[in-house]
Amino acid sequence: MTDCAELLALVERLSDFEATAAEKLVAETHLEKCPSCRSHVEFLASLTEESRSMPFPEPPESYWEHLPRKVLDRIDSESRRPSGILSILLAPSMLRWGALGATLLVVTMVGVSVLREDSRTMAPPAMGSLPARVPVAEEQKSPEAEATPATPGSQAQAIAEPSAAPPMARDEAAPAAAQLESLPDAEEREGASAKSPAPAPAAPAEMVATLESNEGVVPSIEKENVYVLESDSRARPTAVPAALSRAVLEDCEALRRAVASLGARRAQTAQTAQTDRPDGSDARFRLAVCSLTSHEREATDELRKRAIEDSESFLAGESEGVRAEEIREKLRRIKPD
Amino acid sequence: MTSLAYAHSMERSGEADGDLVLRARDGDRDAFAEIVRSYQRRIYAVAMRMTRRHEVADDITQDTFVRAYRNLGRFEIGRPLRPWLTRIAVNLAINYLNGVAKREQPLYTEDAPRGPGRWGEAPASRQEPLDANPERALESEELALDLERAVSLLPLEQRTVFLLKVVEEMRYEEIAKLLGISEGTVMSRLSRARGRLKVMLAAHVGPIPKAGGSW
Repeated sequence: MTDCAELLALVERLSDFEATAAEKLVAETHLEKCPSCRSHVEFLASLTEESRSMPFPEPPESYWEHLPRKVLDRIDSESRRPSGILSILLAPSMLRWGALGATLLVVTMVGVSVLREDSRTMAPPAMGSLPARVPVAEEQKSPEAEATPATPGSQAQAIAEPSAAPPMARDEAAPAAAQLESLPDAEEREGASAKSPAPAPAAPAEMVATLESNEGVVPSIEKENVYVLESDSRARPTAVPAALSRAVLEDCEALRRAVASLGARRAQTAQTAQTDRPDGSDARFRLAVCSLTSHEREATDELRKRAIEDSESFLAGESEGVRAEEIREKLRRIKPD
Repeated sequence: MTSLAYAHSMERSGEADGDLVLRARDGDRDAFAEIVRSYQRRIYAVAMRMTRRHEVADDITQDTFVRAYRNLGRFEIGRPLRPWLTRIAVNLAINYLNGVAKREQPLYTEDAPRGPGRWGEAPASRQEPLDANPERALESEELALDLERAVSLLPLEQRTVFLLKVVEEMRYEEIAKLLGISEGTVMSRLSRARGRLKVMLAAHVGPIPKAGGSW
């Protein structure tokens, strides 16, 4: 009977107490003359009743007695933990990156000191042999620093460490990952100072913890979904996992505002949206990662909604590629359909 | 056996919940412990039915209350706590199922212990998923008589909707919002879940009605 098939949804809505008055009338009228549908309704009622008393292995009573205490202990231990940026910095994953960064820093410093030692031994620079162009770090020195006469040692240091100042100076709280990102390889630093008097341009602070522009991404690495940040086009890039370099460092709301203003800013300079690609996809990607990460940390309705919106917004503009796959996979976890 | 009736008996009105929430917001630990005591069985039951693993259900139950504590400021006083806590628990369970569990092994292929089972009892041996061979499943009297196992054999998305509607008594609209799907999808998943259960429990409920031919 076609009626039954057509009215199945209505009958089930009636059983679920979700039918409107009109639907209820239609369904009840049908049920009066259809024993098969009445049987189905009886099955649904029985299924509901049985399901609500469905058993499962019961924990011992001591489990229930201790659970409130365990919850309170967890709350206490979390409240004792440092919050905000400090907790991010002290998170195990960040500590690992910090340890790696510190190791690289030590290696770099050893390399630089060896180089300086070699320079003094083999070819001491003349007092007047200033670099052809003063490094950005030098240009931005404080008036007090400018008033101090330059020594051969300080010049060599300025050349050997062209990008040391800006990132950390602008944000003292920059996490270990950002420090790691901004560190050129020790070997390349050595090459830069030994082979050329022209210093490498310092990395702008905005580049730290943001995606690099197209030119900065090494294709072979991009395929592995690892993004690169380099302070010197000649330097071997230092790569960090994308999620680490962005989601933990950025404020989703700030990113959301930046994305919202993309349309207005698109016509302006290449500096729009923090070294963004012209179409704003980088900013949207960062926002999507940020929102998804926030939802992973705290699965609230609101964060889930935002994560879905931000992910879909990014995918609408960039539906293919490694980044799209990354976002799509994360999105599937919170929105299976 | 964990009794939902018992869990219900421990729950309070929105007004009483509100009083406890206000005290907990002011730092009264006993008040929050009382909230945990009142709803722990209910929340554990939600998590256990969805994940079917005690250790996971335990984690989800604790996480639910920890998150609830962190967000007490957002709770609307006067409303009952149960739906709010349930939503948090369901979200956590869905996150778990969509992540770790899906990569490991679909839970609905597991052979659940018969009946309430014993505490700490490991699941029995695996068997072929029902939807891979419905005829064989129909022949299994053991399976047909076991509602718990039949529910566990439902595909994840159908099982989730079924449990939220039938056991947690949520409305279509609430489920749709929680899962990020349309109400129509909620209804169709629920209908498919019930149809599948009807087939699996055929020996228990008698012959499947032929009228209509569609279910």
